[in-house]
Amino acid sequence: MASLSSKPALVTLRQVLSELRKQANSKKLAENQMARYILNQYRKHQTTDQQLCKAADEMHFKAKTYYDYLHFSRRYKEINSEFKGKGERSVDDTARMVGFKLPHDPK
Amino acid sequence: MLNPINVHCKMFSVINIIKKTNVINPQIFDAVKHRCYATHKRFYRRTDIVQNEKSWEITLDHRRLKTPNGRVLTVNTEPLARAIAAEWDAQVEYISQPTMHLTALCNTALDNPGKLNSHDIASYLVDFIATDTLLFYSEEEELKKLQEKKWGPVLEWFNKRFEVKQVVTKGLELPPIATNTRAVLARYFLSYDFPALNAMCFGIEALKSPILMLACVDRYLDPKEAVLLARLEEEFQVMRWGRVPWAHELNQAELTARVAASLIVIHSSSERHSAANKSQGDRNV
Repeated sequence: MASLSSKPALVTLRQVLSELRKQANSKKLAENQMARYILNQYRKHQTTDQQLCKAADEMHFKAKTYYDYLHFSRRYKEINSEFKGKGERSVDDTARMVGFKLPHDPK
Repeated sequence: MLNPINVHCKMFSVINIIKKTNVINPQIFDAVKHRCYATHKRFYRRTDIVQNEKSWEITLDHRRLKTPNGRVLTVNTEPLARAIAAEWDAQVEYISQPTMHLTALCNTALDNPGKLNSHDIASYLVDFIATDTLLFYSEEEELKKLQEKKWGPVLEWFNKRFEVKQVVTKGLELPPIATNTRAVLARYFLSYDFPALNAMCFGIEALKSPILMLACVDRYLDPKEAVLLARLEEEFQVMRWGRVPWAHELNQAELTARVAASLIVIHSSSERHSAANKSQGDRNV
């Protein structure tokens, strides 16, 4: 696979863009510098990524690695925040957990 | 009369509902809120990069990003600078530094808190080979078969790529490392510059295996596959005893992110070229 317009490379592109959309601060991808840069690179290496005697598949491997980095650091944060201890529960939370209500709660 | 089993079921369904809403709620989702270390609030709006002669810098609004020692953070390629800027842009309310591996790797390379040089790291890595995960086969038959099937091809690749002959061991005894292997690997490690070598060390410590890391650097394996091979025994036990997300999956996600980050730094530092677009005139020649 040498061309960056082949199917696996495009799948990777879609994955990277989706991760960027999930993580970046602004919601619009058109304003995202990184997304624009990656699209530019894809266009530049559209016909072949064999420049300067680089190994075949080099750009695609890079894109895949970057996707792995984005995806798994997000996964790590998600799992961590789901399971990390959040200190002692309040009386309120404990009551709600077992299906009770506090005396001053509205019915 | 209340049926105790009914009450029990109800209780658990309530717990499930609470747990689900917790995950969806964006405020609780921010992991840094319940942290055990000092944090900063996000103090900037935009992140960007600027080119400074041959190196690239990252800016947060109009301030330049600096290392903990106060030097300006510079990297040598545009994609790496952009990736770091994107990493800072991905911070929500608080800056969660422990998960920003790219920034951390570049910081360490510039500040060098351990006061190491390339030779120190190279000799450390060469010594690491003897305790490479891939060289220790299990005594249990089933696991050993799996290891031979999965690790065998990688070891074969390693022997072919570096033209060496590496033997494996059973049990706790260290496998012998030939002098030739050590020399070849030392030369290979020293062909990288300091930031790349530092990243290589980071990746190897995550995988506990220089061979797997070298396979990643050579694009024989991608980070996900390498982490799977490094955790082969754990995966084998998981198949038998079940998977626990807060241990196994968390570990897998963290290791993959670390290996991918170190690969990005290594690959970007080994290219350092200045590509120029061909002009129309050149094409006709």
